[in-house]
Amino acid sequence: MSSMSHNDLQQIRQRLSHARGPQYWRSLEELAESEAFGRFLHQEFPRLGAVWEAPLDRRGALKLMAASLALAGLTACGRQPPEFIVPYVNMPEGQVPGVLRDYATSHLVGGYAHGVLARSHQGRPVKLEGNPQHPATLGACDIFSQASVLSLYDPDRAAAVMHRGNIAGYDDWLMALWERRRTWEAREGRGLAILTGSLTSPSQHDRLSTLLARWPQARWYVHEPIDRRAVYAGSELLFGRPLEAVYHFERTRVVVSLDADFLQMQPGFLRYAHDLMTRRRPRDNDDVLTRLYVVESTPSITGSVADHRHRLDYRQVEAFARQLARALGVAVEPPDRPGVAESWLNPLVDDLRRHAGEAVVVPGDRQPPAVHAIAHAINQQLEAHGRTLAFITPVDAGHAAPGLDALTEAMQAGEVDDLVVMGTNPVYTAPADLAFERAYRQVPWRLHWGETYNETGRLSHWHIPATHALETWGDARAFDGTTSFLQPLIQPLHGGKTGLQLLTALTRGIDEDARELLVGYWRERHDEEDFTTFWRRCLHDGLLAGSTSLAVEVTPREGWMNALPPPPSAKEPAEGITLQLQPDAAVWDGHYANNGWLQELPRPLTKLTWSNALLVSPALAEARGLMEGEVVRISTRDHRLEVPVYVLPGMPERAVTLSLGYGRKGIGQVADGVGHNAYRLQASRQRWAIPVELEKTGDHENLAVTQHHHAIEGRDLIRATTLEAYRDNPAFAKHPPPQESLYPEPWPADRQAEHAWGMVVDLSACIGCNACVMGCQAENNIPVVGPEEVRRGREMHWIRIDRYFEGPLESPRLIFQPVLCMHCENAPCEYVCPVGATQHSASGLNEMIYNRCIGTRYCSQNCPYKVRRFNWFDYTGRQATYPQPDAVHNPEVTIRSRGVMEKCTFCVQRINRARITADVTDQPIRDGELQTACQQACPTQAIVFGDISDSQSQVRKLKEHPLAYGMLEHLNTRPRVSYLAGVGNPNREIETPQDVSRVNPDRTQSQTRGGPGSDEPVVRHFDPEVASGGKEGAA
Amino acid sequence: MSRHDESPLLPPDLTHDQLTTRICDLVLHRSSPRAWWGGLLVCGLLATLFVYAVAYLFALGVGVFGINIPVAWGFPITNTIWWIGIAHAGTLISAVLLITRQPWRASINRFAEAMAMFAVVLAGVYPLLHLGRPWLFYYLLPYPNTMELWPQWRSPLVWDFFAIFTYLSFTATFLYVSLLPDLATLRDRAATRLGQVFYGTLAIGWRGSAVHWARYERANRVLSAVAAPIVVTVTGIISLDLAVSIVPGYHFTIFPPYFVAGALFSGFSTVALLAVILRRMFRLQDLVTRTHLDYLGRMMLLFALVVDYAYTQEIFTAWYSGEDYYRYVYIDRWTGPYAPAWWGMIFCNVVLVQLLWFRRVRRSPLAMLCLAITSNIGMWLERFQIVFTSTHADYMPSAWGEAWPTMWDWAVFIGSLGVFGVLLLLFVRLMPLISLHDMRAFIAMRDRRSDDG
Repeated sequence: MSSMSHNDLQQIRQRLSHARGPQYWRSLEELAESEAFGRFLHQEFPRLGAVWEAPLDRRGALKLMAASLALAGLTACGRQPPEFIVPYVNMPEGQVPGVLRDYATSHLVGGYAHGVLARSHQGRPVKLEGNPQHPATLGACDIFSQASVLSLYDPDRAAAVMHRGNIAGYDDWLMALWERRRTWEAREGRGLAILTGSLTSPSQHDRLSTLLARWPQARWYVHEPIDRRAVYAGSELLFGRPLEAVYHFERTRVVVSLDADFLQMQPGFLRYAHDLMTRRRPRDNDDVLTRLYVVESTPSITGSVADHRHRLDYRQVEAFARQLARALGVAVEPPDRPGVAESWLNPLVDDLRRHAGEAVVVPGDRQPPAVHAIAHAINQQLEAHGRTLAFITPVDAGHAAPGLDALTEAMQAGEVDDLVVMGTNPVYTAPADLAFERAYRQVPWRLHWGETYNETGRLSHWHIPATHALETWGDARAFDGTTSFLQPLIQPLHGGKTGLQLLTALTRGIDEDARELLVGYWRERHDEEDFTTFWRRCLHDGLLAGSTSLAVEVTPREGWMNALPPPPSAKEPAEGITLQLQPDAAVWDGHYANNGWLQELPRPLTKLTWSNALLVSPALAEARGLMEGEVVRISTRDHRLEVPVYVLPGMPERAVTLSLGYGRKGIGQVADGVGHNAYRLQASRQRWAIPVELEKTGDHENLAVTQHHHAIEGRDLIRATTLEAYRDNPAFAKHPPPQESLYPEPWPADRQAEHAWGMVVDLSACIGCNACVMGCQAENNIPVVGPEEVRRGREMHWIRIDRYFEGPLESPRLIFQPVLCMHCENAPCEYVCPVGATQHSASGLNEMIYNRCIGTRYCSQNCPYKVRRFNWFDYTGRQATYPQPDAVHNPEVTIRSRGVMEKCTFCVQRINRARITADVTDQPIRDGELQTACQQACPTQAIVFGDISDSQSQVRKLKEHPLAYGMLEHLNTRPRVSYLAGVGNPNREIETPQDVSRVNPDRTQSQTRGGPGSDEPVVRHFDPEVASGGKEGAA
Repeated sequence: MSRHDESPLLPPDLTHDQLTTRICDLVLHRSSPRAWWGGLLVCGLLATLFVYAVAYLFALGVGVFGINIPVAWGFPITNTIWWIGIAHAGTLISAVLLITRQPWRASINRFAEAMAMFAVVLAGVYPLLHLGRPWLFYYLLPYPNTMELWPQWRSPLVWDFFAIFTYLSFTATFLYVSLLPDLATLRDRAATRLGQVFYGTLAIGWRGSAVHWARYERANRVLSAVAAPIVVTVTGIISLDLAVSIVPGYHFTIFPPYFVAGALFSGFSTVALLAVILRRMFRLQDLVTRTHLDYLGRMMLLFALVVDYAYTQEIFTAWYSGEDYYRYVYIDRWTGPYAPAWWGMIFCNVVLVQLLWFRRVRRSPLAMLCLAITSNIGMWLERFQIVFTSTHADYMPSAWGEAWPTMWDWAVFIGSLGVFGVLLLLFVRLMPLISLHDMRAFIAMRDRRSDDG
């Protein structure tokens, strides 16, 4: 407010002298009737301006004051939402203290909705499970969604509106906004730019469109670090319009992946994993197994599941795509140099031809548009369109919006006066060559809205905290277009605002209720009369029924091949080394960097935690004299970065891979200083593959790896075969025990108990995605121990996914095996405990009694599976380095103290809950009703749990399946967890090194080792000879 | 020991009076030698380190040690077995040599027993330091409680607890009984009131009457007869901690005799070590003679050979079992990350001990000192490699890992050597370090024999 000038006072005196009768005035400014006061009045009290200016007498003023006081008394204490809440005077039906409630909501992964059920303990969300009705999850749950519960309670989350680094109020911001809005109003939005991430929310898109319509000069930009622009550009090339493909793997017989990690990275990955694996589980259907060919630039879980995996540099994938297209009769220009040998290609082509209509080629999101266009042209040729894949209009509403490069240009040209950054973090994630940060600092008014006060937030004038998905009223669309809803399970912990609220504030200048905004949007679009029923159904289901996008009929454009860029020059990859960037399997683009669960989650292929590392092939490592953990300097033309090396068999020889999302600063206790920021090497033109130079620095960094030994040493832990061999000998996995026990013991079902709990893990179905590990961590309050402790071999996960390499270093097979407590009938841990702290229950659980445990660790020493975990320090209490907020703990599971052993309990809390429910309702526990956390999270149903004394239960049937075997059974531990041997379906006509070392049922391991691959360097330190005769496979 | 008269175990002119005066004066009148003060200072500092490290351990948790999930047992278990082994020779010298009437035991049995006593104390401390929640150690005891919970009798750790406790009480009794007549001597010779009360109280009215002596001899013989089985069972039971498990590398039926032999080997080595140091420190070269060292060297050699035989049998068993896992443990011991420990053990316990075949080596205090030290290192390495290598690469390659000791492991271990040193040094200043009555009996025996001749 402007100060009064001497002149004004003169005027006031004059005016007062002219006045007749008593005149009351409230401030000097009012008396002056200055323009500034009027402006202030409208800014400060936008809705009360009219009241103020209304003629008012003394009586009226007193009435208003009295009414205000009375109302103030009514609304007394803040934070109460202006909603109709019924306290538990009358307990809501079904709400019983201690009884869990599930609410359907969604979590966004890269902007795409994953339908989840959030489990609430008396108003506190502690666990997310998949929503069985939601097409993107079908009841499974990915690691990001599951770990997001921890992020909800993250103490480092953005906790307040920040103005130039100081805490401010939301109202302060609204006031500041008022001024900006007047400018936008005046200039029709010129100078205003809005930058969002990928936007799949219909309501937010609508509100944004309103904003853009109101101020037509305003610009909308989209920046998603792991974007899918190549997908849209590819379909634009081929079909002339941006579209995206939705795959139907359940209808396929042959799948070819062109560097597509569709089991872990692409939108819809949970559903894809589910669909693909329904056709690859011999236990369900052993007539047909979908055959999977993967050509990839970095080993991925998709590649490790494949029957045939071929490694190629990022750039050579296009060459392979062209080769394949030409072989199938798509007349694209041939590559300079073939990507794969004819001996590999021809059987593949034959296979695809044989299965036309049941085959699909999947291009990777990060591959260039040309690969997408070629892949879908091949799909057209294979009659896949409409059968094994469908095209829909892009789910991301921002697919056509210009990107960060356009925005940076505009900023540098001084065309951006006001920049609103919503939910994305460009200061950190922008490719280094854009110099985004410098351009950003030049923008006169910068606003950031996000869940963390991150790099961008700290460089902005204003930072508005965003709500977490579990605090949000919102909507979003899934990979197939299904509209999904987000409903809050808890009040915003830090006064965050939803995206819709922010956009509304930008458009209308006022703070509105998040729920009303969302409901308002949907009410407008709902024609039927009974909106309440409709809305309740939507919230109950978590999705809008029938909102799946309709498939679009497509035909390739005439002469689309001519629009293709020329094939990449073959010389390029041959000379230098290509750096391939990829999202991280745990922290994604860096969004989850401050999440301890994810940081400590062993990455599926490297088993690396708490850092990224440069993945190099053994050949390159040998040539450069690199060892694991050795630090190299990666230099692009303008930038350099020092990172430690991890030698990963199966990497292409001339390519190295680094994952994004690390090296953050000032984000929080967990993320700070972890790993190395790969965005600093990214170039805006070549985002995913950059020519680089490597240089040894001589430094060494000790990587926190959870699995140190990668060869199986010829041990009989994993049994696998091919489909043909399985058909010949279905019981190949049954190895007779070397000796019968002299002391017959009761078989599990003979124990005197109502139930006999047991589990089966299907190695054919396991894709190594870590969903089970995360599910267990969230369910069982597993502490985060930090990189130092992981380096010492003290990680705490109760279930681990063992990853073994088999075969030659260049192209090994990768095998995953989830290992948890086997709940042995003859548990070696039990008899050695001096205090009896680990005991067997009647229903067959091997139980830990934490209160009794004194920590001799004998049980772990004697456990052949090494699944027990010890609290070496106080990992959960006041001394913990990475303490978890109390609120995130599952109240049904004990928090373990220092000096106590722990391990998988088969989710005994769930068992007991099911038993109690069964007792109360007098209904037996139905098979499948009781699921362990790992089983529930698994997208491929690789884990089956149940009562093995029930002859009709699925687990019992699987235990009797010919493929079932027990690990280390010859020790007479009698594990309650059985494995189903893996069955693959390789093409017999392709002879690749990785196939020969598949364990052959007819031969013992010692004979297998003599296979054709044995002359090559093999990932194996030592190969003990097995005594022949009578001990086949059991040693 | 037929050639013991080649070089006498006693100075020919030593009389009862001279002996008593010399030994008693060491305790009662002579001031401590400078070496004693030096030793006490060093050991005291190390003992302080021990106390500090243990306090740190209790404050933070057992994670300060470098152990992890495949290798959940580390230094504490290694050191327990090592100390209990050292403890063994003390009892054996006192008891078995007494029963077999070996006169050379007379001048060394006292400090051997003291050594046994303090070594057992330390061996008993380590399992407590090893616990995750040491304040709940009493759960190992069958004490009455409202939950009617008892220890789990199938677990060798419970047997272990009782074995160590039995051994501790036995050693204490044995040491005290053997001290009794000497305490009375000290009481009678003490010049100060404090000394008289102190030794008088401890001597519990020993007057040296014939009845006392008769009862004393009988008690001593009973204790000695009990000692032999105890020596064998204690280490045998400790070895069962390992042998009862199903871990390749632990699960060997030869462990009990193997461990007993190893224990005696390290025990005799330590007696030799102390003998060399103490005879020098208190100028007792004429009482603890080179012949004594010679005999100790023979015992060391004997048990070293038994241990070496056990090594071969262990390897043979691993191979003969036909089990990949057992064979792999061996190959890993030879070539894996802990291979230096295995080869170090072989060097100390197999190669170096062969020097003991030479009489000159056995009679050289310096050589015996060196060999005693290397033998103890070798035996420590043996326990280290058994404890560490067996689980570091057992059944599941995915769980394989290595554990390396941290500074706290070393602090506790070296600190415990200091504690041992302090206790022993204080003992030799407060009690006669050579058994007076045994020596007098020996002198009497010699005199009688010369009379007869």
